[in-house]
This record gives sequence, structure tokens and C-alpha cells, in this order.
Amino acid sequence: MIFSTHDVHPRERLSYWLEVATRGYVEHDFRAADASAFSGSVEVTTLPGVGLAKFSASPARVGRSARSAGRTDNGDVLLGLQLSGEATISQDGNDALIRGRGMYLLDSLRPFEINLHAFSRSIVARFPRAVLEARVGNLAGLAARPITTASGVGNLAMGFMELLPDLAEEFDDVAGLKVAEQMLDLAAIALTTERGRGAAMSSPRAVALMRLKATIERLLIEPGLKPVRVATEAGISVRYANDLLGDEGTSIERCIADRRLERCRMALDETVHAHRSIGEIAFNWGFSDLSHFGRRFKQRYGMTPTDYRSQKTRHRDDPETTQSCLQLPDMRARSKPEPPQAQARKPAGHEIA
Amino acid sequence: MIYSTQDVHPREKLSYWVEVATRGYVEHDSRPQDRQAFTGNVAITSLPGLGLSVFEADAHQVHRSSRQTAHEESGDLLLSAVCDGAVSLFQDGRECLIEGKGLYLVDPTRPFELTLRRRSSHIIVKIPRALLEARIGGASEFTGRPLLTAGGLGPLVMGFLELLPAQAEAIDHASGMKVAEQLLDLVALALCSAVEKSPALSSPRANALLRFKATAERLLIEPGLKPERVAQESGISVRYANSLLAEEGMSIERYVAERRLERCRSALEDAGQVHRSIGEIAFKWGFSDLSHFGRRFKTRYGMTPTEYRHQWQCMSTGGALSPPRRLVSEPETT
Repeated sequence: MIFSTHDVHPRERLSYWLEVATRGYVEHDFRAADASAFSGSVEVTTLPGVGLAKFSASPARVGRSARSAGRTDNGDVLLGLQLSGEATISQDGNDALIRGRGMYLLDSLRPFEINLHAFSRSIVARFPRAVLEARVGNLAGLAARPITTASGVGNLAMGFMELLPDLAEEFDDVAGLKVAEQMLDLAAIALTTERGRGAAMSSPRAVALMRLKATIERLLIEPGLKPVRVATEAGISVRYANDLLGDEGTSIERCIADRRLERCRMALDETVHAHRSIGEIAFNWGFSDLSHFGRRFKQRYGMTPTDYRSQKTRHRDDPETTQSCLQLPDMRARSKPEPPQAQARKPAGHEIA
Repeated sequence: MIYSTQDVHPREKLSYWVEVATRGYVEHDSRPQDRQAFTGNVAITSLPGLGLSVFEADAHQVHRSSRQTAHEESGDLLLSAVCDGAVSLFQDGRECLIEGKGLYLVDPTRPFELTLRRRSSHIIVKIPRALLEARIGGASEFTGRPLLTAGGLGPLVMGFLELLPAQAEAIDHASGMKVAEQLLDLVALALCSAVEKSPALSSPRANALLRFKATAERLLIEPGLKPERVAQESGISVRYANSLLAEEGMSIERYVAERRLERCRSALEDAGQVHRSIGEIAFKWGFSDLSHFGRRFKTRYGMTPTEYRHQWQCMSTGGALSPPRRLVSEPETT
């Protein structure tokens, strides 16, 4: 089944899209960066137990709010394969910037955000969490951790998944069942291989850390947020929380500040927020002192928020420089641990994801 | 490893080619259409248990005589994917013609003749005979036939094969073993569907059995899974399912338990899953009683899950390259 905005009158494209793309998928909000120029298509197929959707869409923000995640249906997980384009995938305090090809996991039980920065094509598989949990154990810490083309198994899993939407209809029932199992097995190998590279963490700690980060993310917007409130909400002690974050060289307070900065920076990147003042954005993300915000921002990203925004806007308006714009200091990319410019100034242990 | 005739003196190109092609393939005679202009290259890589070579060569004819097969003890079968070319293969009294893309199986223990009508590129997978025959039955039914049929699995196998050579080196041994196993399962399924033949059983029964097994695999994770549910989901009665499984000395319950044990066992071997507790693995694969799991595991594999995991870890950190595990794990009927 294919839905495309192609034959729809430009004025109606976005509403048509909201109608088709939101339906039959996990409930989410969709905001196009430029509603008047929006175009997209989605092609839906299935394998036994696995839903497959092949998307292409103009820049937009796809968000699943805490409210809709809380009301959820069935706790399916989403395995995304970006074929082309550029997007930031955020969940549990991890932000994965994927340029071109890459794979990621999202858990529909918790809020997430997908920011499509450019026209992107992707395939999203949806399946019950139990089938993946059986293969990789707890999913904690796997969400929004990108699998890149640097991973051999990752490439195989991606290549395999890419073949499926066009072939799915042709499989008979036995073949379909087998192929679905194989896709899940391959994805599981890719996910665990990637995880194996990181520090091995025992399950209870990983779960606690994930819950802690998700809690921080949810509470960021509260001005005057205290570590003790975060810890209480996450159901652990402040001491244990700091101990968990200590493994990543950070602390509750540092983590809160870093995530707020990061959120503001992302908002400054986006055209949808162009009409908002910098102060408003900072206050919205829980900063209560604008000059304090400005100082920390500069320290972290090497320029003031105003400079940052105008530089972004200038680059965006001038297609010739799009490439160099992408080279801006970028703390979002987990897969790129060495951001170019702000490197020297960034405080130790800035990387919270 | 890449071998190419490019830097070889024109006079020696052919003998060089025969030398490398034999290394990546099997001993044979090679007759190029144009002896002077012939060029070719081979890239050889592997997955655990499987050899992979990518051949690209100008039109020529490959002939393997009964003399050459006579002193051949190679237990390997050659699955060949034509990525682009025009190829005809003659073996076991059958001939198959491929134009463009295609898939065929060669058994090097019997004479064959292969003609590349124009410059063609191939991916050739060397598969130990026992591994493939365990999945498809005797290989002789598959040789000399075009195995890439329209629809579904053939194109998926082709696509998967085309991905492999570039990634094979970048995959660690443990993942490589799993990928090799997956590839074989997929190949077996595609081959059987291409010749509409199934292993040891006659067709409708075989089909029902395959469907039953695939369905069971999907339902393993459900705790308290009942035989009725598996049978119903696969569209047959419990009685019929049990009669199908009886030919393998199994029953629904035994089969489900066996597959769950196998899944747990392979999770215990996996270095990527060392942080998971044994109990969690067992529960996630549908066991609901840990001591029951422990007993069955021990009966089946001769040691407790903890011992098994420990032994496996010692082995893999001890640098043992090929741990004593069979690539195919056929359930032992006990």
C-alpha cells in the first residue's frame, strides 16, 4: 500500500500526510519544517509479526510525547533504517545524528523525537518488544544509539532490511516467517555487537541509568530542577545516581545542564523555532538566568547563542555553504566523538548521552 | 585477498588465472574464447565455515573431467551467484542457462562444464556438503538447474550474497558464525522453493512441517505456550502436527522445548550477552521455571547452564579459533 503526497494539491499535502502517516503507526506529533513545501510518501508492507514502512519525507520533526507513550498500546519497538538524508534521533537522553545511512532503535514506551534535517528516506520496522528482548536482553541503553556503516554486521543487517519492503509481498507464509526471524536475528547481532564495544554494564545498572536519563530528559523543563528531585523521580538515591553517571564522567547537575544546552542548541538549529527569541527558548528548557545560559553556551560551543543561530541561518539560506554548515561544532553525534571546533573548550565529560 | 591478471605478462595471464581460479574454486581446465585478451580477477574472503570468492572474468569455458573429479575428495559444494553475465552450466545430465542474474549449484565431485558466454561476474560460496545437505537433502537434485526463480526468496538470497563479500572481513568470528548459519538457512529455503522439493518428506506434509516449525519459532518467547496454540497458529491440528514431528522423533512439546534450549544455549555462547543473567535469558525464551530449565539443559548438553557459559567464555578468551560447536545444530533425538 503506497501513500504519496505526489498527486495531492500542495496546499493539502501536509494534512493528507498527517492523515495517512500518523494512522496505523505509533501515535506521534508531526511538524513539518516548511508546511507549504512539504512532500512525503509512505509504503506499508508486513512480514509475520513485523510491520514495515518505507518513508520519504521533507524536513520535519516527529515526536512522541510522554503522554502518548504513557497511554500506549502494546510497547512495540521501532527499528529504523535511514537510507539517505540527515536526522537526529533522540531518546533517553541519547541524541544520534545520522548522516546518510544508519540504523537505530526506538522504544515506543518512552518519549522520543526524530528531527529530519533534510529530505530523508527510511525504512521503519515495528515489532513487539518481547521478540527483541529475547535476543538481546534488556533494551535499556540501546535506544537512539546509531549503528553506522562502520559496522560490518550493521551493514549486513541494513542491507538485508533494505531488500525487504520490495520483496515482502512475494514471500509465501513459511518464507515470510523465516525471513522475519532472520531480520530480527541480524538486527540483534548488530545491536549487541555495537553494545559489546562499549563498557559492559550489568543489566540492573544499565536499567537504572536509562531510567535516570529518561527522567532527567522529562524534567529538564522545570526551572530550578534539583538533583534530589531527579533521583527521587527515578526511584534511586542521589548518591547512586551520581555513581551511575560517574561512569560516564558526569553528574546529575552536569547532566541536566548539558542536556538543557543541547536542547537549546538543537532549537536554535531549527527553522520551526526561528520566530522564538533565544531567551524564550532558554527559559523553556529550564534555564532561569539568561546571562548564565549565554556564558555556558559559549563555553560549550565556542560562540554565543546569537552568533550560533545567525551562522546557522546564513548557511541555511545559502545552499552553496550547506556542506560547511554541517561541519559546525556538533555534539549530537555519538558516532563522531571528536567534534571539530569546540573541542578545546568543552568541559570534561560533556558527553552525556 | 585479491588476484588479478592485470599486472601479469599477457603470455602468462592464462596460466596465472588457472592457478588462482583453482585456488578459489576447484581444479579444472580453462579455455578462454580469446586467449590473447583474456583478463580476470578473483577476490577471496570467508565467513566461518564458508569460503567466499568473487570472480570476474572474460568469456571462457571451464571443464572438469571425470579424471579430475576422481582424485577429488573435496566435501564442498559450490553455490554460484551470477551477478551479471551470461552463463551456461551442464552437470548431471541437465543444462541451465543464465542471462543477467542467476543462481546455480555445482557439485565438484562430478564432472561439469561451465561456459561464460561473455564477461561475467560471480560470487561463489564454498559450502561444506554436510552443512547444506542437512538442510536440503541430496545435492544431486539441485545441480544443473536455475535456482533463482521469480519472487520472494531467490532475490533475497542474491541480495544478501551481494552484500557479503564487502563485509565479511569486518565481521568478528562469533557474529560471522551466526551470519553463516543464517545464510545457509536462507539458501536452503530458496533452493527448496526453487525446485519445489523438500527434504525427506513428500510435498504437502513437508510444507505443513516447515510452516509449523517457522510458526513455533515465532511463538517460542510466549511463556506457557500450549501445543494447541502452535498448531492452531500454523493452521493444522495438534494430532497432525505431532504426526509430522514424529517422523523426526519429536512432538510439539519436545520441539518447542528443544528450540528454546537451543536459543538459550546460543545466547550463553554470545559475548555480546554476557551481562544477561541466565534466568533472564531462560525467561525471555519462554521458560517459566528456572530449575526445570536447568535440569533440561543439563540433560541435553551434559552440563549446567552456568558451567556451559563459563566453559564457553574460557574457550573464547583462550583464543580458540573454532570452538567445538557444530554450525548446524540438529536436535538430537534422545
